[in-house]
Amino acid sequence: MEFELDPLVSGMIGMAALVLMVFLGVRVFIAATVVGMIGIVSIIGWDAGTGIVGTIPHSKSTLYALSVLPMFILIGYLAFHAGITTAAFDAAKKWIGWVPGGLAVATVFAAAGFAAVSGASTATAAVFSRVAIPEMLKAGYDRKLAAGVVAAGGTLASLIPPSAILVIYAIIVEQSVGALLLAGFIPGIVSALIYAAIIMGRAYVNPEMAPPITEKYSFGDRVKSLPGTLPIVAVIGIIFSAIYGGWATPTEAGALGAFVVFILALLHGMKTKALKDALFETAKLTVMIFSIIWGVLVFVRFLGFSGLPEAFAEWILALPFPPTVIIVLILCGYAVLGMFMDAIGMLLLTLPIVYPAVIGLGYDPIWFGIIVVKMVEICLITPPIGLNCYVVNGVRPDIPLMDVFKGIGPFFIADVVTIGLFIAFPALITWLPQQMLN
Amino acid sequence: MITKTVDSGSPSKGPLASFDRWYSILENFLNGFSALAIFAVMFLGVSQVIGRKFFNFPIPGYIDFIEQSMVVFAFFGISYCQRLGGHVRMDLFMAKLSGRPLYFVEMLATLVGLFAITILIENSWLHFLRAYEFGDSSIDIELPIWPAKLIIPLSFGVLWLRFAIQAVGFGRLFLDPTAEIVGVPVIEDVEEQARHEISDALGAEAGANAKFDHTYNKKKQDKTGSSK
Repeated sequence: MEFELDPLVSGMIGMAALVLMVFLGVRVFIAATVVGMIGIVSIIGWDAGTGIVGTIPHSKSTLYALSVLPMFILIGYLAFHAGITTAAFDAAKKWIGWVPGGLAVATVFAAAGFAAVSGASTATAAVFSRVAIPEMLKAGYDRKLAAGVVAAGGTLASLIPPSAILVIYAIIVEQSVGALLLAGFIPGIVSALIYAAIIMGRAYVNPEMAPPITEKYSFGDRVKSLPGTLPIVAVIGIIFSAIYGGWATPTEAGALGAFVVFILALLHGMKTKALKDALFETAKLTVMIFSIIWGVLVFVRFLGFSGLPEAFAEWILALPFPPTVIIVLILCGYAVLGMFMDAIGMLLLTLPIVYPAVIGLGYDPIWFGIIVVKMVEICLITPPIGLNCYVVNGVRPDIPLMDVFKGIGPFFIADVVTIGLFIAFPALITWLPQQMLN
Repeated sequence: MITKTVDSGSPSKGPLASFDRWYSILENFLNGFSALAIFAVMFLGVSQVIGRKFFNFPIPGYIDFIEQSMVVFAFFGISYCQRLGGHVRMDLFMAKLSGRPLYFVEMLATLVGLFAITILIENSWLHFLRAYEFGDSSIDIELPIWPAKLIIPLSFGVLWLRFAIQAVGFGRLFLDPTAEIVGVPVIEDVEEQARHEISDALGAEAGANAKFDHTYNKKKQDKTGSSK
């Protein structure tokens, strides 16, 4: 007679084993597959168990909805060659440079646009360290402010469409990809506006920190700066309008966006070698994401057999705290995890357990997706790691790392305020996708 | 997190190194194929939108074509990505180790991968066989499904050998931690990751010129064998 284990207990053992393996440094897709496989086999036997596991890589990676991922990733890698950075910063400077802290505010909006299109937070920090920091320092800006705004600006990457991480969230929790992509738009803008407000407030109180720029731009100068922002407007516009208007699927919109950036990159003089590198990097990142998706879905199948997510949700619901307290605790958990782990891996590993509980508390699936993604982005600027801060320091060794981290402080506070705002007014997130569904 | 392979100036000698180099060519080719598939999906998507909106003529079986081609970019590059250490992991713990303990843990982690992929090869192969024998086809234009399903055990086969190379590579380093690093990715610390991101965004020269401030974080500076 075989040793029989309660499925719930094997679910808990499995979860612990997964955490241990990931902590020891096993690749996440392998750890999730191995634990999921052993778990399923322990519940339904070897032949049936391994048989199910053998079907998952194919069945879970050929979902049409997932085909948008390589398109978004391709947009990102091609964006570097389309010459948008200097143009975006130039336009932002000419239009809004006159406000208090104008150059820093311009950096926020240009970085938000570039980050949205490239989808890469750290790369945005690298690019703007070179484009925006010299201008700010020349104008007499405080270097902590200049470095902080560049490191923080990159974190707006994941909310404004196109966003690969929101697609992944949608797939894992089985929500509409289109709804998630739309939902990120307003929170992305709100985050940028709050950054801008903080800068303007500080510059107003303490003008020495960000002296006003002396150059005056005519209306003609301003209009002339606009064509350079075309790639950003085109990509965000195509994806937004396609999904909102329903005239193309996210994959088709992504393909169009990639095509537009591709053409612009060619016009901007992209070499064959650069195109090849961009395509190779796109393929590498794509396979990485697909592997972790099907790997984690093997584990999720095991969790389904074990009944652990339901049990965890019941336990959470029985806690004698109001839902807001629980959600804040969950978000704090993400903040801690995010300091040590890559955003995609962290989301995929935690959502299968956390998501049913959050939904059980009565929160909206789309709302939670945006909040969680915002949370993991904040982790890119917080110590102990804060990769964006290292990137800024690497490009500008004259700005000590400590100053970059100090410069981040106000933006970190801004992000906490933003999250609080989204918790208090969920409609900021849910309104737009609801408009689309109606 | 991110790890990378060592780019040593002069090519290493020995059977493992030469096999690794030979095998890398195959992996590069497969990843290149995957890259082309992504490029093709882009053109297909653009043609589909233009055909449907302006000529009222959508591509017949568009979704079938995309879904069948997805296995190419979901799997062909899997071994390439493993070679370059691109698959997500948390190296918090491993980064604290060095020398023999590090190589031991790395070898164990690689063997776990080898185990998982061995079982997946067999069962994804059976999954392909069923589709082949029953003649399963896609919903819209009835493309046969078995070629897509065959790609999976084949890609896993390629990955299996890559794991084997890495297991041997780590095993060799475990036995002799001072040996030259061959056929395995090495861990990047946060500075090297930052350098990597800078090269991606601003070009290799900017990456090489990036300097980091060490007053904040006094880190040990003995990067064993890494040179980039």
